[in-house]
Amino acid sequence: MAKVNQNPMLIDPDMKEIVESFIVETKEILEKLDVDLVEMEKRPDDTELLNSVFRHFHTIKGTSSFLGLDKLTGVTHKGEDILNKLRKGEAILTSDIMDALLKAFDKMKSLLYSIEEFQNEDVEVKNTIKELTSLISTLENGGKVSEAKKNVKKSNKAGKKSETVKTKKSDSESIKQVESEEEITSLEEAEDAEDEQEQELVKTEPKRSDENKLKPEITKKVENSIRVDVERLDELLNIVSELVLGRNRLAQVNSEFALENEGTKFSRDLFDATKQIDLMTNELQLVVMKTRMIKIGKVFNKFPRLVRDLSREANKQINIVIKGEETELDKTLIEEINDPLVHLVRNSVDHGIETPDKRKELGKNPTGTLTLSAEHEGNNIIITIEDDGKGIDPEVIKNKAVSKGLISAERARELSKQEILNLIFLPGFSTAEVVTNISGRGVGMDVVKTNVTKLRGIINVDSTTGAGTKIIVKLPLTLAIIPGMIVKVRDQSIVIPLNTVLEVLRVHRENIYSINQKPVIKMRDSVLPLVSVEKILFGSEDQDEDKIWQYVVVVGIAEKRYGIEVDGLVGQKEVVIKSLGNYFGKIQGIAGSTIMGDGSVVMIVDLNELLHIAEG
Amino acid sequence: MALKFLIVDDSQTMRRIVVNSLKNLGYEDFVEASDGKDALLKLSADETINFVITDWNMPVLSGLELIKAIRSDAKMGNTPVLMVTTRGVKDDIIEALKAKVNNYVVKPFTPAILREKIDQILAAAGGGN
Repeated sequence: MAKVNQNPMLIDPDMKEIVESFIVETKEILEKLDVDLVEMEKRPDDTELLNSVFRHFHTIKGTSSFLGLDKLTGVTHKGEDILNKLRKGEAILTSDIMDALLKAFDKMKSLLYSIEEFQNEDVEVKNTIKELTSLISTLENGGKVSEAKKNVKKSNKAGKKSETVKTKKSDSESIKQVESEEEITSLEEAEDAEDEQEQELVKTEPKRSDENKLKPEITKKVENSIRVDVERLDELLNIVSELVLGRNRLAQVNSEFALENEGTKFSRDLFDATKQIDLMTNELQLVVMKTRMIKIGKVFNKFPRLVRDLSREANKQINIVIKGEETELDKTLIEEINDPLVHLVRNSVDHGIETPDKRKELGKNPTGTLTLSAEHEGNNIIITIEDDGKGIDPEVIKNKAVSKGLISAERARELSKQEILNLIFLPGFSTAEVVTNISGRGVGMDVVKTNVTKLRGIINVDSTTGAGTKIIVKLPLTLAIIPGMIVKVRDQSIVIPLNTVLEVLRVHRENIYSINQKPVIKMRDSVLPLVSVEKILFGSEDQDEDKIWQYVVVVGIAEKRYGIEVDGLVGQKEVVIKSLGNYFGKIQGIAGSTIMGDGSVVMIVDLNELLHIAEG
Repeated sequence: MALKFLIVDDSQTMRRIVVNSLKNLGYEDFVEASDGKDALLKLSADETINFVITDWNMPVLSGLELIKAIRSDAKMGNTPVLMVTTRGVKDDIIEALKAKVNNYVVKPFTPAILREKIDQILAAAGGGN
């Protein structure tokens, strides 16, 4: 195996379909196992769950053996053996056994990765197999009582067996030809373990039927799906983006034409055709977007295992609750959101939830709860990470921020509780007093925020001291096409992403006040700071003394509100985000550009950066 | 007589492996089911199915229960059933034989072994008629 780089079976063109199906199926099974194994530790008495886990191992063992994947078959087989012992009641699920099963699971995962990526099984499994084997023999030796029982059973069975073999022989000649007798005898000693469990499984299975009614449906769904290269999906999205631009252009031409040739047959026809293209483009865009959508469960399902391992390390008891795993979002976002979520979950485990003793002292349930949930809200997805730990103390945050020189003491006094909590997102801020193994690895909340912001998302924190912390991440469903608000600044059009726009005001000049030389307006009962995009983007501000009215677009970033001064409002449009290309690279305050219906290029502002600049 | 197979397994990959093997043997008519219950539905919906190849360990309705259900049915009671099993589950085999499965094949098998089993079953059935 070391010399041969690819397993011949895996690159055999005749096997391609089977290998692909194997990879997809095994991946799905491993994903389920990721959740089920951790769940199993919590509910060791749930025989149905145990049987289901066993069946998953069993399926992988069976299919991998066909593909000559000896290592995968070997590791899976050992895991299956341990599960067998659990099902038989010969062993009780301890943390050590769980660790061994998880180790086997991890190996299975890396083997599958190697199989998929490199078409080989170049993963070291010897140690794992050795460990598993020794665990199995320990379990066998430790269970002397059950061993004795087994022997009794064995002798009973032997009697039963010879009887059946006889009937069988007279029943059907074919069996004799396949030398079942020899096979059975040889199996007797070596594999006795598997016998009773199989029967037991059969017994428990009918009970499952009600709960599993949906299962066939799910399997069918899988059959109806095909695997598509992500690159092809990206290409498709790109083409649709171009189509949206073309559609916008067509709409523009149509309206210009209609102005000059109103009422003519030609203009009516053009109108109809444009309308149809418009409708179809919208629908196509929607379908393509949906094609790229993946359930967030894909990310969430990894967390039970993570939380289990982390809480063991930190000697904490944590129960993880997952909600809304069916919520879908764009594939790119799924990939990008994983790391920030891992960080947030680590934070909750490490800094949020207290040790069982401490919790008992506080009159809390010794087992903490960590809730991960996702839901749709318009064109956004809201992901929340909530724990019932000690919460964040605003005073501690405030003092820390001041002592680190992130804000001045005067400024600190002015801040609202919300604003104080959000200080944790500032670069250089870390509240961990002890740097532990788990978090406090130098990657702070500021990195999480940067990552979320890169995805045009918003992150917010809410906390009650002593009762818990809730982190809310709001992300757009897709990255490529966004609804935008087109405004005029000086003589240029710019696009403000609509998801940040709260409202639009027209303010009389006299109602613009100045606090610390910064313009503000009064909006209902709060003070709204004004930001001049013109000054930031063009470096100067044209002071038009005659102007009486000022348009203000009120935007919300996290819990903060700002008023953006603009010279005019143009309208609302679906815009396709195009990068500025390598020549320009990254320009502060600009997220990208888009092409308008008339062919002109318009900049899309990156509000977060823009406001950052404005705050200095 | 042309054979029309019903392949029952909760693993899609396993079904593909079986179908592939059968294709290699020159068969071309297949129906698939993902568990015993699904198999019974498919069997009652399609009377032209005349050969069942089933896995043992499945959710909802196991291979054993499927065999029992087939055998107790007046119409399809004589449909040949070949069981696919893994090494080391002799009690399954005994149970299956009691339930009157026609033959069994141990994973991983080659198309040649599969052919042998099918031929044995067909020969036995032919001899009976």
